[in-house]
Amino acid sequence: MSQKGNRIRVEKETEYLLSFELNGESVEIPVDPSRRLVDIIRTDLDLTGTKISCEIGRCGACMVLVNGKQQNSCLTMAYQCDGKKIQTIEGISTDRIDPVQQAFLEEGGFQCGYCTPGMIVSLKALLKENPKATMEDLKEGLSGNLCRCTGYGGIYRVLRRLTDK
Amino acid sequence: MWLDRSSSGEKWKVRPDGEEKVTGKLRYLTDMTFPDMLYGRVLRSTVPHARILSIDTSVALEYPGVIAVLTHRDIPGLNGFGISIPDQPVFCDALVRFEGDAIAAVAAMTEEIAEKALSLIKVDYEPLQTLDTPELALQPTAPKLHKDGNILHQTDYQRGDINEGFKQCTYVIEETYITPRQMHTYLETEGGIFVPSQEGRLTVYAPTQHGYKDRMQLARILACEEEQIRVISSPIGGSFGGKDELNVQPYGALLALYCHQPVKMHYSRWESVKAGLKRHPMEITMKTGVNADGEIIAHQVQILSDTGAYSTLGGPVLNFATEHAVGPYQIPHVDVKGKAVYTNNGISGEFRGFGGNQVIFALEGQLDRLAEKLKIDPWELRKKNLRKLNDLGPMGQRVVPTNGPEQVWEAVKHSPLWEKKKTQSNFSKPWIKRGIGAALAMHGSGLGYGIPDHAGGLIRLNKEGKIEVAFGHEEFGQGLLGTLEILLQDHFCCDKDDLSIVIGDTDLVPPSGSSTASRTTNVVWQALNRLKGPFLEALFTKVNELTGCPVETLKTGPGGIWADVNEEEELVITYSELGKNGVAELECSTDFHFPVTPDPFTGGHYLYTSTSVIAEVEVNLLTGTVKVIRMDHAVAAGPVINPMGYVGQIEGGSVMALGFTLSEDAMMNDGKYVTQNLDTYLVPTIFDVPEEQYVHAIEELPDGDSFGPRGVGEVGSVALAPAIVSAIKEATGIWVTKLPVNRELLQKTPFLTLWGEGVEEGTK
Amino acid sequence: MIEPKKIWRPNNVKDAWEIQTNLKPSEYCFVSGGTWLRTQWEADLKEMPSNLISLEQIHEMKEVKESLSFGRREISVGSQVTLANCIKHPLLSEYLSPLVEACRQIAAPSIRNVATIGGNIYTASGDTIPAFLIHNARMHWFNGKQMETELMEEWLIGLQANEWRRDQRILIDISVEIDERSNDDFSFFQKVGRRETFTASLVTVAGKGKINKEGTFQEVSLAAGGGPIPLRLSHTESELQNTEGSEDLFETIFPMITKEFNATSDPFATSNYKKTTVANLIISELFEQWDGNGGVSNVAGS
Repeated sequence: MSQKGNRIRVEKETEYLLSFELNGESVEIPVDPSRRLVDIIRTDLDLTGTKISCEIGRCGACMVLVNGKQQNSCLTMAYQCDGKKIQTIEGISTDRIDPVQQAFLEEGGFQCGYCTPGMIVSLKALLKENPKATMEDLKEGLSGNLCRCTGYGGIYRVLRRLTDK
Repeated sequence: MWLDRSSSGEKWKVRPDGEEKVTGKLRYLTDMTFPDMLYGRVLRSTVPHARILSIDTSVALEYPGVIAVLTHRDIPGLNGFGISIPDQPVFCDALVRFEGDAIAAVAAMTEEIAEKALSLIKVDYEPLQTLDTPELALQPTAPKLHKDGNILHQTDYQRGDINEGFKQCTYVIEETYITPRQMHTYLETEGGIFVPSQEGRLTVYAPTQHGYKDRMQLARILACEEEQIRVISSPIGGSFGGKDELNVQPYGALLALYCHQPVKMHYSRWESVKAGLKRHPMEITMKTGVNADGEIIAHQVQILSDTGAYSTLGGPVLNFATEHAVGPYQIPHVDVKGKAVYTNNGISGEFRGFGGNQVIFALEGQLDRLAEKLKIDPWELRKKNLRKLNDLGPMGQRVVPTNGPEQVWEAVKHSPLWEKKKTQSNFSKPWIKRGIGAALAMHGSGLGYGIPDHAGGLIRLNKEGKIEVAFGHEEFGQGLLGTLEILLQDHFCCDKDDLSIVIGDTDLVPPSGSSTASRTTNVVWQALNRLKGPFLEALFTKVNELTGCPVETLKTGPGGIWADVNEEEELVITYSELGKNGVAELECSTDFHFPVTPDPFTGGHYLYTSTSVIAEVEVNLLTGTVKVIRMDHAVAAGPVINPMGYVGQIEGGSVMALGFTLSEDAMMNDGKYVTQNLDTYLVPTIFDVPEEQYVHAIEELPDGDSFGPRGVGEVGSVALAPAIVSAIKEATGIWVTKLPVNRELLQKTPFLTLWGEGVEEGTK
Repeated sequence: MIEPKKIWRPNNVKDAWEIQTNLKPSEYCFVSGGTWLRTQWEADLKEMPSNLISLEQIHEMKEVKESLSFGRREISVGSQVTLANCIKHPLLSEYLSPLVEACRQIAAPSIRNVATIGGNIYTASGDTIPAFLIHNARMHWFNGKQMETELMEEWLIGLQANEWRRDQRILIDISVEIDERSNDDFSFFQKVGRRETFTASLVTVAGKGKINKEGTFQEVSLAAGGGPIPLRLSHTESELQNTEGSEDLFETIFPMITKEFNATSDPFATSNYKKTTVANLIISELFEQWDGNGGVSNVAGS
């Protein structure tokens, strides 16, 4: 028969204070400097639009923008975010739906939706860097984002719409 | 006509759950947190087969921040689970049967402490021989993995006289086909949160495909009344069959009740790979004979299925494979035998297609090979043997009349690939070869004869003045919410804001059966047809009482109840006013059984969906690499309710099948997974999938058919593999019998056998 | 208790060296982008040490530089240059296109934004290595006192001989010497993985050389990855030197390549497959140079 273990006060023992900009607001948070960005976002700051799935950068569900560029938050450590601008899916559309999001909605670019924030973040990074991106550029930009539901059919419809100009 | 946004018109709708999914606002159950929550972790075996000599949790318990460590000694009820047979222990007591077996579970104040505590639990094992193939497990000397031995289930279906049949054959093809251990790879790994209440109830927030079944299984483990448990199970980040069985639930529930605190669990991908279900690897031997006219006379099948350490739905999967090994073809002499065998491998279980994918790959391969012998077009050979409208089903059972196979046979010709197949392509690089192949299949929906297949639903006008429906079904991405919204707006001509849809919560929904087996769309369609009349009658009677308007002038519309007055339509009362006037009698429910064949063949189906696929591939002979250039589908599944959902299911199912054919295999070596995460287990990326993939939906049902839309959740995944393999044969001359396709088999050495075979062909 | 990690972020190489001299080898590791290390830690293949010494702040290691002297052009790539920056760099695109192509085919954009050339090479199996090997790349290390120079090929051979034990030295940059390009030049890089993209390689091949109007090969360098270490294929190179392309030549070098390329079987491909693939890919590239150079072939011109 198991007995109850010892309760402790869980305190941050670290002296390290991470300061960075998250979705336009400055954040200061004491963390282990090797803590993963995905844990800081999801667990410490309770922003759960960024997902977690493989934890080794092989699925793209945890994709965020670091200084405007795609980055896997599961592979990024706290100290690597020092002074950086981080944008998560929550920072993509603040008051109204972004055109990329609208395309996903109307073209059936998602089903379960678990990969979707990562997909949208990746596309935003790409289109910001190159507003005239071609189909091939956009595919390249999504090559690190896995989707298991749509078979990319709906995502191709999104890409056709984004490049159809 | 291709089913797409433009051909669907107004029925192509933004999903009700869309906005919160694209903005990241949707809280999946694994995103939820509660105050004072603990973190749960499971200690899993490190060996595939062993006797447990001792388990010592004392050091782990003393570690600061660890609240509980539970083992088999701490289970109040049944130490077992399994939808069909509960033979999987929650915690092993004496014997470990696979590397993912659970030994203990920990609840701790942080994830890091929980992880540390796992490393402090000491388990002594005495390793036993690893039975890592069904062949090994079937040896008379093999140790017994379960009380009754190593055979979980056997099937045996016969008609005619198989030996006599083969005597009448001009050509006989015998071949063995091998299929991989495919992983569902839902992006959201298993997890959830378990919240005990002060009154002793437990709320389980964890994805499943059948909330009521989880509740029943959990009550059995916890030795409590089912009503003590509330299962909230949607939304779900993908399942494909993989979350149908219990996973985190027993551990989270036990820990939460033991600690009187909320407990969160979320498997890492490594743990999900190790502990989760996979598609049954099967070895299928088929011997099939035709006469000189191309009529299939005899068909003999042996199926050997590796079910892994525990049963879950290994038996029903084998039944399904047995039935679908005969397919849509009329064959007088048939003999199908199947064995599902326990091994020390990872657990195989329910997965989109449910045993059909494996045998359809084999069966369609047989047809192609026979056509080659007969020197006739393989599509014509199929036509000659296809079932007709009123023919019996694959096991000789009565089925709802269907000419779906004939419809999809014809419809494949709408694809431009059909014409292209007749022409020869030329490439500047002589080592690049292209080929086009096609295959078809018929796939049953519902659980089949002999298995309780309960269906039901509820409709009411709620106090807030919404037309509310409640179903015990789940939303795992397939688009159930969208389908319900479309059906309800069709029935009641109301705005979507007039609707409330409740699913995935056992405290709020009636039992509707599982959200599996391509049954959900059909169940909700049937249920709403049954509910509509009584509900409108109740509604209009009430309106008549309140307003005096004659019942026969009333109808539902946007915002409320409308009446025809002097040939003008006017709003009589809003739903919200109606709601304020008492809703007690404005509720109707229905209970029924999913349509089932009257003939007693266990697992035999009554309703079928048919599909055909045509695919073009490109093979690089230097590397043996296969790339699918285009694939088109025809699907005969009755009326399309939700076109975006329908197309999505076929596209998604088919790309899952593309992975099954070309890259996916959860490899095991000596009972341990070699492919432990998504760096080595490779699902298709966007570059592996053709930009062009179209779906042709055939909506016409035979005259008098009253069964409505058939499900399409699985059928997109069943026929692509044989089409790709047929295309590879055309491109290279090589028949593939084992999936995923081995590149080494297709690789040639054009520079060695100088400009010989392979390079010259097709370049002229 | 679970101790937080100590992160060191020196901004010059000497400081980086100083930090590690006070630590035992098991207590620290150098980290660049950390993408590969993180996957190792997460998968329990390596234990995360208590000290991480980040090299990301060392500016001198983040540059691609060009130097010209006496008609020789030397390009050096700092070990902390990210794969994404390699792809974008005009100098590398112009002179080291196989390297750019190798970077382009590694992982996915999000990883290439962080992962560095140094990290890729340091694994001793990175896909960029063959692209460097064909240029006789030299690695420049800081050993605490001074800079050391070592041929990449020798470093790999030494590492293998020494059972993959790495020393304390810090990799500063990798340099290659480039001749002025002429019209006769060709170069290539190809990778075969288990799916179209975002996959580890089964094999990689890289090559460069010249082919004159008569169809004669000169100064061909070839390298392949997929064995225990990426290798130059020097016997094959010698066979090609000053030899006119022909079907017979390609038939002759096929077994030379499969013999010379020391592949190993893994759960996903046999050594035989890897050898055949390397030979097929290299010869197909040579074939296309030769065929495109004068249409000598009577089969592939269709």
